[in-house]
Amino acid sequence: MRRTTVLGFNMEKQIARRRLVVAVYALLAALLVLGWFLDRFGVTGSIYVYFIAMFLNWKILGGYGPNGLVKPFNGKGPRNEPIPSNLMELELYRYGNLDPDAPDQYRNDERELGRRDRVHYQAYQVLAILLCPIWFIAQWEIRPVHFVPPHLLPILLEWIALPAVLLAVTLPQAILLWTEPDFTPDPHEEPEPEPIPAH
Amino acid sequence: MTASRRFLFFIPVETRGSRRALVIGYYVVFAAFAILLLWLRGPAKYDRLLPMTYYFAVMLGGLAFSGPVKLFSEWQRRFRNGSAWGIDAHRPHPWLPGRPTIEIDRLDEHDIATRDRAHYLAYSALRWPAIAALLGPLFLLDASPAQVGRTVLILSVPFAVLFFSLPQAIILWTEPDLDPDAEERGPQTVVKVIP
Repeated sequence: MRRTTVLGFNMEKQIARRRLVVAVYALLAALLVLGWFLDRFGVTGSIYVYFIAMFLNWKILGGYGPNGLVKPFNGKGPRNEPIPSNLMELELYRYGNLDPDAPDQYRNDERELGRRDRVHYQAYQVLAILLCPIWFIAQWEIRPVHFVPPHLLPILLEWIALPAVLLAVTLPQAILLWTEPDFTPDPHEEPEPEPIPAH
Repeated sequence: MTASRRFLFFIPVETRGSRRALVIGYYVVFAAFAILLLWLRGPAKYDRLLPMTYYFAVMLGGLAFSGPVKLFSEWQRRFRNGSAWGIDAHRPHPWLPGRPTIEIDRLDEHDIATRDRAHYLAYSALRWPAIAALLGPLFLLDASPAQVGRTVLILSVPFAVLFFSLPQAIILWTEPDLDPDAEERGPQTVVKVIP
């Protein structure tokens, strides 16, 4: 994870990151409700919610992109480096030996790789649980059952499937932000000079 | 990770080559099964494949105790070991005092790392269908509820096949050959030195 701010808020404390996660999901939930009232999850109601979710994911949460709080899961740097001019440079760049600035901003250490894998395992379990009702409802739509009114099924399907896709895109990063401890002060960072007392 | 079973039914899965063949065979057999079902029973019975995606994946292990891949879940493991609700192994179930318990080895550090890594790779691969699902509502604007349900089912069968089996398949594909266990070794020649 990176030591960075989101909208001016310092995210070094765990509590700040937890508030951010709650805020992101509250915003997405509010957008889903808004999308439902707009056109019952038509184009406006669902596509725009997804685009906003992807934007939040890309810009704030990170993980599957160069930006955001979570470092890129694949450990690749941003693609703003100059194009290698010869084959040797290209080979060095490919194997990560030509990183001119701050590779710790996107390179994961061993602990971070372990945490990355663990949160994906946990997110996988959550999605497995969410998929079961989706499949049940999809089957009931083909073969209606007597204990669920038929007009409720598509609504139920949308209300489970849409959040499930949103969760699939954001959940590993959210678990990571939720569970990572506070940042400790960097030992290499020079302490700020104490203010000189006024006489 | 693959030490829990050396055979899947009668197929040996001790070497990496045999496990890779098993993975390929698994997907080929499932695809053939789906085509056969569609051919013989028609598209109306296509949804019957959905539970099979889970049952077939259970055979590979990971989701259940049986299979070449060790059981993933610690909760299931504790439950199987006799815990009340999968929480504490020292608290046997109050309603089932005589329940036979099955001791299952704990996952070691390497097993856990392999399991988590396989899930990360599977998640990264299956994330793309989820993103593609973003565009789904665009194609289903004028569809009836039954058509939506059918489309979700048709698309979800291949997704379910991969979702339930991909972590196990990755583990089977990448793990090296198993070391022969002590009890499975052949008789060793002992050289007796007589002075």
